[in-house]
Amino acid sequence: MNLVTDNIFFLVLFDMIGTFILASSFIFFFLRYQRKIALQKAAMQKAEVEYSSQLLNATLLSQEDERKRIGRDLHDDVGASLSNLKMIMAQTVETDEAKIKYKPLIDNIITTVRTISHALSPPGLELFGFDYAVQELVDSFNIAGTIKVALNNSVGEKLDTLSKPTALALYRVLQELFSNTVKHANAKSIIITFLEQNNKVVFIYEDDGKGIALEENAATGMGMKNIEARLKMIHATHSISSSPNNGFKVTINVTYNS
Amino acid sequence: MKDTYMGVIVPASILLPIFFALVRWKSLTLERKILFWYLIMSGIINLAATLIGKYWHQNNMPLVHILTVLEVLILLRFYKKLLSHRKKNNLYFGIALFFITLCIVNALFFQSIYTYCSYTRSLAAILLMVFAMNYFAKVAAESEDIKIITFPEFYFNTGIFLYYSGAFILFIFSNFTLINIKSKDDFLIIWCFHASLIFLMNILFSIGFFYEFSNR
Repeated sequence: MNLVTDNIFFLVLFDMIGTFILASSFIFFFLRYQRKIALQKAAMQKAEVEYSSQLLNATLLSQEDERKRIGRDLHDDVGASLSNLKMIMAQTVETDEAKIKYKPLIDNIITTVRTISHALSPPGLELFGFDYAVQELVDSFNIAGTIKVALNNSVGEKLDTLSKPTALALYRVLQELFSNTVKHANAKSIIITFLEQNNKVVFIYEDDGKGIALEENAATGMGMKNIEARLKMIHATHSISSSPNNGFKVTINVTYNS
Repeated sequence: MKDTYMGVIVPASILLPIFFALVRWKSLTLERKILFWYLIMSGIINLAATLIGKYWHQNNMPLVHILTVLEVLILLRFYKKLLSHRKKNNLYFGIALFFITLCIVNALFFQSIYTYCSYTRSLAAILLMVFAMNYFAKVAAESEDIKIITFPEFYFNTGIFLYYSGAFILFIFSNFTLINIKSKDDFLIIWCFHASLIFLMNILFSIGFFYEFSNR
C-alpha cells in the first residue's frame, strides 16, 4: 500500500482559498443577476414609456386631423351655405323689417362659425406661419376680451422656421394657456415673450392673475396635462413658477427642428 | 511582519467599523446596533485572548468557547431582525438553545475548554452561512426596485458570508493542523489568511456603517 504523503498545510490552505473563491463567485454572480434583472426592468419601463408616448403622439395627431377636417367643413360647407342664405335673403325678402330682423342673426352665425372653424384649424398658421398666427390670436383676444395681451417677439419672423408640428403644438399650448387664464386666473394682463437663447426658442407666458399653489395643482387639470403632453411630443422643456396671488408664469424651451 | 499584521493591524481594524457605527449611531437601525454590539463583544474577547495568551502565557481557549456561543447568539438575533422572521421566534429560540446545549456537551465530553472547539465553531460557521444565503435568497425574491449594493445590510451579510466560508475549513481542521503542521511559518500562513478574512469582514462592515446610501 502506498503511503499518503499529502501535506496538510497545502490541503487546508487550498481548501480555504477554494471555499473563499466559491463564496466570492457566488456573490459576484448574485450581483450580476441582480444587475441583469434591474436592466431588464429598466428596458421594459423604457419601452412602456416609449409606447405610451407614441400612443399619445398618435392621439394628438389624429385629434389635429379631425379638428382640421371639422374646421374645413364648417368653413367651406356651413360658412358657404350661410353666405348663400344671406345673399338669397337679400334678394328675396322684400320687407325692410324682415331684413333688419334676420340679417344680424345670419351675420352673427357666420362670425361664430368662422371663429369656431379658425379655432379648430387656424388657417393663418398654415398660410402665413407661426409668427402671424400668434399675432392674429393675440389681436383677436385683445379685441374680444377684457384682458390686455402684450406680445414681445424678439425672434421675429425666424419663428416661422419652427417645424410644423412644433408650431402647431406651441399654438395649441398658447390657446390652452389663454383659456386657463380666462377661466381661472382673474387676470388683468398677459405678457407673451419669444426670445432666442443658445439656438433655442424661449417662449414665456405670464399673467398677473391669482396664481396657483404648485404643489397642490401639479398638472392635475386636463388643460395642464394637455400642455405637458404636447410639449413632451415636441421634446420641449418647461418650467412653471406661480404662487397664490402672484400670477402664473410658464417658460418653454424648444429647438427649431424639434 | 506577519506578527504585526496578525497581532496589530487586523485586530485594530475592528476599530474602523466601530468608529463609523458610533459616528452614525443616531441613524442606526436595530439590526445595525446588534452588529455593533457583536463587534464590541468580539473585540473585547480577542483583546482578552491576546493579553492572556501573549502576555500572561496562559491558555486562552476557554475564551474561544465563549466567543463561539456569544457570536452565534448575537448573529442569530441580527438575522432574525434582518430576515424579519417575527413569526419564527420559536425557531430562533430553538436554534439558540440547541447550540448552547451542544457547546456545553462538547466542552464537557468531547473538546475540553482548553482545546480549540472545532466542532461547534464549524457548526456555527455552517449555521451562519445558511442564514447569510437566506438573506441573499430573500433579496433575490424581493428584488423589485432595489439596488442591493446600496444596502448596508448587503455589506454586513457579505462580510459574514465571506469570513465564515473562507474560515470554515480552518475551523474544521484547526486541531488537526496544530498537530500535523510542523513548520511554524506554514502554520502562520494559514492563520494569516484567516486574519485577512477578518480584515475583509471589518472593511465590509465599515462600508456598511459608513455610507449613507441615497439612491435606493
